[in-house]
Amino acid sequence: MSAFLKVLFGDAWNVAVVAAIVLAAVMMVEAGYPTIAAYVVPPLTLAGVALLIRR
Amino acid sequence: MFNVAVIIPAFLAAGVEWVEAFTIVFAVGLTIGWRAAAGAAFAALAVLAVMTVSMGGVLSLGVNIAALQFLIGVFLLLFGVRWLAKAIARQAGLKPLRSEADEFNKVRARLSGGDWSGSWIIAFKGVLLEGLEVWLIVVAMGGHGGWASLAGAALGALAALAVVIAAGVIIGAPLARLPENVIKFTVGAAIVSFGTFWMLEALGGPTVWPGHDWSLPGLFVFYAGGGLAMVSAVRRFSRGRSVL
Repeated sequence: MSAFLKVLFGDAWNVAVVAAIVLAAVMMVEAGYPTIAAYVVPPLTLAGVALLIRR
Repeated sequence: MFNVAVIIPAFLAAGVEWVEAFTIVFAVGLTIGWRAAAGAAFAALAVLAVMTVSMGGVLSLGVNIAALQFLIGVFLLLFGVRWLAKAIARQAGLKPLRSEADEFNKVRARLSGGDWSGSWIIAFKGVLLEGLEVWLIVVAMGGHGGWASLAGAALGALAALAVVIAAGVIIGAPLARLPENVIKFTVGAAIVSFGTFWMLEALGGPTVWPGHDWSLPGLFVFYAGGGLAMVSAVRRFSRGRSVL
């Protein structure tokens, strides 16, 4: 079961990074800045990838 | 009938996973015989086929497209960021490059002294878990555009399976010479691009991205370029530390 979940979601760090990206996107869109989110989310995602490199 | 745009990404992504599954089945086949190993592989593939058809059925029920797009985007991100991070780490030398020959030897070592049913389960589980990643890619890439996209992504994955089996049978050894990390890096960047694009479009509507669909190639260049920059930065950093 744990192998199955790991394939679906990855480890806790992976989930945390993606959750942070999605949360930031939701907050920006809800605050009324969806077009700015288009310029913020990609660098944020790349920063998340950088965080995961050493995990 | 098929959405051609998803066939190639699905083919490449699935190909990498099928190569890994083939290595396990090949090792098991040498231990308990080809018929049993192939039986285990086909049993796992049958489970995956049922999952894919069921997903197509869910899509035809007319679920909320924006919610589905958001969910697919998040799953692609969950999948893509770890592929990209792992490929960067391997390319930069932080992690060893995956070697199919080493994996083959590891599975063979696990099988030595093992019983028939234990070996069968290793082949079944190996194909199921690697195939589960293929299933996720097929559903994520194909789920967005309905049946035509799902069929296109499934076709890409099946074509990759056929190529891997044919190559494996012809070579008669694990497929060790594939540039697996380059493919994983490229597909990882593509999956993250699709994931970011769909997730934000589902939240903010079709006008959220500048250039609309043309943002996708831009995102790919951004992630691939950023990933390459990270590879060289990590290499430089590691070299600097080893000098000190």
